[in-house]
Amino acid sequence: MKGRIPSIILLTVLLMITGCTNSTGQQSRIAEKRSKPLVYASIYPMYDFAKNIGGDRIDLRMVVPVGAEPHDWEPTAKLIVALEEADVFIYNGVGMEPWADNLIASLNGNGPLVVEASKGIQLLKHGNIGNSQHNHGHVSVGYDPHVWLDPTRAEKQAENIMHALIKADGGNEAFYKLNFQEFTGKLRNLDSLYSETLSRLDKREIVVTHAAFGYLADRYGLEQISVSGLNPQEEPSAAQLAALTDLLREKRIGYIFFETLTNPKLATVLADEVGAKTEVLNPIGGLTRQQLDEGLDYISVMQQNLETLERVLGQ
Amino acid sequence: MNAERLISISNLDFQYGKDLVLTNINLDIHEGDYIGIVGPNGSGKSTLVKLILGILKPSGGCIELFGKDIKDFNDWERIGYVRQKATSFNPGFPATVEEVVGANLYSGRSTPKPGTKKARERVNEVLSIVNMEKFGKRLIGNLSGGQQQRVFIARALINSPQILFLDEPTVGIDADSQRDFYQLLEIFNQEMRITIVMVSHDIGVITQKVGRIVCMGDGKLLCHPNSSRSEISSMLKKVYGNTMDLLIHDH
Amino acid sequence: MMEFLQYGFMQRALMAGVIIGILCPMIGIFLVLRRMSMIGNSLSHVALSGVAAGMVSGIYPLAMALAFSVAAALGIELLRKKYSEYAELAMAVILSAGLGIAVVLISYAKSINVDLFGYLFGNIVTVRSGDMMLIAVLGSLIIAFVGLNYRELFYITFDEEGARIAGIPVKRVNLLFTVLIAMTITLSMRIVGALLVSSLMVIPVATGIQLAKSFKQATLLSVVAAEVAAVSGIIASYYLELASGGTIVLLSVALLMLVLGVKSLLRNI
Repeated sequence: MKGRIPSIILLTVLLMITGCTNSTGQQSRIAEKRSKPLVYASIYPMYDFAKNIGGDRIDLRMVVPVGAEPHDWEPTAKLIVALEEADVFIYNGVGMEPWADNLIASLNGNGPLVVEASKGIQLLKHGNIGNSQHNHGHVSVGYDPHVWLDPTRAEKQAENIMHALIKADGGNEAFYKLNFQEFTGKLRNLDSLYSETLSRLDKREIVVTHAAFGYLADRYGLEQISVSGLNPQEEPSAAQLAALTDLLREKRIGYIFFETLTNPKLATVLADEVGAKTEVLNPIGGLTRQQLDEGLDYISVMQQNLETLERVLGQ
Repeated sequence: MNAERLISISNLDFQYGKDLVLTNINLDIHEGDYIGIVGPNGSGKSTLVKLILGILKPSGGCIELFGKDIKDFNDWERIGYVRQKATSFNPGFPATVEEVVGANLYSGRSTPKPGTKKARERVNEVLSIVNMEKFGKRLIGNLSGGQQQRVFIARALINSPQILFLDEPTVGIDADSQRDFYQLLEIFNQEMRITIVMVSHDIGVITQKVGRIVCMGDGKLLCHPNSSRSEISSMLKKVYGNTMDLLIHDH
Repeated sequence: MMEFLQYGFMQRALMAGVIIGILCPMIGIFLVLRRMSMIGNSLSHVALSGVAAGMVSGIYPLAMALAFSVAAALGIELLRKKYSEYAELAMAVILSAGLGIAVVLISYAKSINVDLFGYLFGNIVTVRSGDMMLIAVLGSLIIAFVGLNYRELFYITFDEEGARIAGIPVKRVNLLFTVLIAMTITLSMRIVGALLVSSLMVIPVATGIQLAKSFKQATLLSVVAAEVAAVSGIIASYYLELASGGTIVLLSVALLMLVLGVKSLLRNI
């Protein structure tokens, strides 16, 4: 037994050394081979913005899989390993991706260039009927993470992303800047379309399943009433649901906006209760496979949302 | 033998897994019999009773109850069964004596429908036979072992069975209660003409009480109801050893 | 005080609560006295995996839960007969398998957590009209079956071997009863939650047995104890904004403690 112990230690040390050199060697080899920077975007809006700017000169991947609700998604171990090999990691921040903080901390400065797209943007505190006491999934409690739903703030996010891409891949600076300008144009068009359309409407209340539309409401002077909180996981209690029922009856609101990725059970209960119609307003946190196949993207879904708002609030 | 043959067992085998528990059992039980089945632990006495009651299925041979093959037999109310007290129920069970006794009215065709006034009268009737009529509303778990055993006898009697099986009925019961108990059985057998088959390892008492003895050892029938006393005596000696000598001679 | 009754979802919650307040102890008393309390726990975990399967496949989760738990109940009954020595083990295996399937399905479909939480801990606000119909119809069926087979169930519970000798079709009654356990669990899950269903089958029964002077009384008192806990639990969970399942179960535990306390006080006087 005694004789074996040193040899085991020796073996372990050897394995560690070879293991280390192996992985670093691999990493550099992959980096050399790659012609395009490997960019990971946490959720769909980040993916969409990066795609608009990076075009076909980046190898772009989305972390939260298509069709998953982004608030309650957790990364698999395999993905974390893959992320370490990336050049750029873009995330929204403000607690939208609770897993991202742990991930970034575990990178220890190695690995990709990390971009928090919401950095430098004026954030909104979340104040809403009843549902602010539980904020399970969100790290920075109290701030609304759904920054991208205001086109002007989305522009800032896109700008942050552009800078990161330039930093990671300076050779394509002109290309990224040109794309950014083109995308900015689209966002500004969208913004003026929203301002114009919504200013014509009398009704201002939007009843939504989860409080994702704070920035949209802020930008265009709407009033958001949500069934659950910032995170669709926060369920209202029966008493809160009763208060919402009273509010909707009082304000004579005949519609409730659903979203595509969360379970609408509670909103359905509420709609049944007050006899309201249901409509779809997409917070674009993630798109379904079908929506992507139809060629929908951030801009077109925002336009769809506007059409829905116009139809419902204009009645 | 002119009495009616109630139970007829021929060439009965029973196998449990690979073990042959009973081999080639042949036994007839007639109306009015008072039979004690004795034998050491593991000799197959209880297994034999369970086969007769249809709880276990035989591996070979044939059992006839009241002239019918056991597979076609349906008149289970003609057979009463009293089990060893200790294992038969959960002592915390919240049931009254009346509920326990009345439960057995389930299948009786000739007996009153459960829940009726007649049924309640019948329950009181059998309770008074076993001198338990004052305990009808008491919880079964609050009675002494001897009292519980009398309740179970009352339960077995409620459908007026023609034959009563008792499996180690005196285990866990004090000596006085045991004496009362044997007196009751004698009344059943002599006055009510109920055929009684009792399994017991308590040879000393049983050989004094019962009319006939069936002795079992190692899954075989060693002597029959018709064996002479000396045959039985020597058989018992063979099975249990010499200590048995005293008990038999005592008689 | 009762202004919550103006809301349809609260009316449904209360009605469902009243029905499961009858079902759970009525099934539970036979389980407790047969020392089979464990089966409720196993089946509720399987029902949970059914809910998860329903959510993943888009089939009505309660129907899926019903199918899963009934299948598991039949499986347990089969195992219980074949390997009676390992009955406890069989239930533990089925519990683990149920929970395992549930967890795997949940991790497979990322976005079903919201509703699943309700199935785990009970949620009074999500009793839909369809759920209510299911609870009412199947609930009446269960109550009718137990009512009609009360004597048989009592006999089997008191003395299974004796029941068989008395000519009761023990196998058939046991099989049907096991299916009823699965149904009761599935129906109660909306209000009490999968984790606590078996508690509502056991604790009110324990209270009832403490006070009862007969089996009939034990059944009635168990139902009373469960109703008190269910109705006051639902009302409390509305006003105090608590999870309904936990509130109901804690109230039924409090009731049991109260009964035990008063009983021991009276004994000491």
